[in-house]
Amino acid sequence: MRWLMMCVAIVLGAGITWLLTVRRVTRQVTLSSATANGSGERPPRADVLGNEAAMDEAATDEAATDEAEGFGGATTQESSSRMGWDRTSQDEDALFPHDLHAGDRGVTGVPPIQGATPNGDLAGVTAPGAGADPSLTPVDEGPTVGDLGPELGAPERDDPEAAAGEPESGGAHVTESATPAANDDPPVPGPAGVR
Amino acid sequence: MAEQTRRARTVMRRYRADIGGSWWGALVVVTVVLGFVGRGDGGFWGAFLWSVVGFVVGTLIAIAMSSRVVGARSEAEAFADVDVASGDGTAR
Repeated sequence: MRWLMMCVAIVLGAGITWLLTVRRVTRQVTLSSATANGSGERPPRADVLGNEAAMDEAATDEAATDEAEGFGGATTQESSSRMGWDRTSQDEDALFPHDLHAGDRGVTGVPPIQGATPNGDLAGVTAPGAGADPSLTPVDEGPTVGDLGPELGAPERDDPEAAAGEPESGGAHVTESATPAANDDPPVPGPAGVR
Repeated sequence: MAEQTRRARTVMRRYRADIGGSWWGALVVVTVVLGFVGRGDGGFWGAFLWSVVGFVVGTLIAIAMSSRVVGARSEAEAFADVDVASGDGTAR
């Protein structure tokens, strides 16, 4: 009888204690998900009704996201590779415009000079004090060598190959630094060509 | 434009609270009742004291089990994962 009462007391003690200590609470959670133009699904947001702290936190988070989008977009997650720099920026050539390497497009607005080296360098093309090489006639329209002064008397040439291959006497000649292949290459624009 | 979809659902959580004064009231009531019920052999006090021992042992067992089953100690802690869901988008 005594052990039976002990067992009953244990069960009652455990049950009553469980009911008094472990409490249940129920909340209604609103999950909101947004989809922008079908580009992707924004993760659902949970607003717990009746919990002002959680709602304020969610509102603050949403405001921060909107503010970030005003500066070009929300902050993305950190890359798993943890690369702190752009690998492309380590390549010096990648810093130049791609059109600058094309050479034959004349993107700088300066007309190409016949007889110039492939990289547009005219060093050694003309002798010091000899004036501009009359063979260095711009192909395209723009400031020509002849425009620098009438005394230079730069003749206009319609055939640039003849001008590059057969420099006239009296003018400076293109030195050997200009490789033969350079004559075949399309002219490269260079700011030094018009100076 | 962004299309927003809202879904509402009920989430139930449990958390542990302090025993409080109700436990003492339950202790008195239960032990007195069991003392009167079991007073046949050793009298009221014998049954009453063993009932107190059994009730305390049962209380300790319940506390040990609740501490293992229910981890949250407050309502806010119980809904911490739901509050975090507002940031990472998962509700558990």
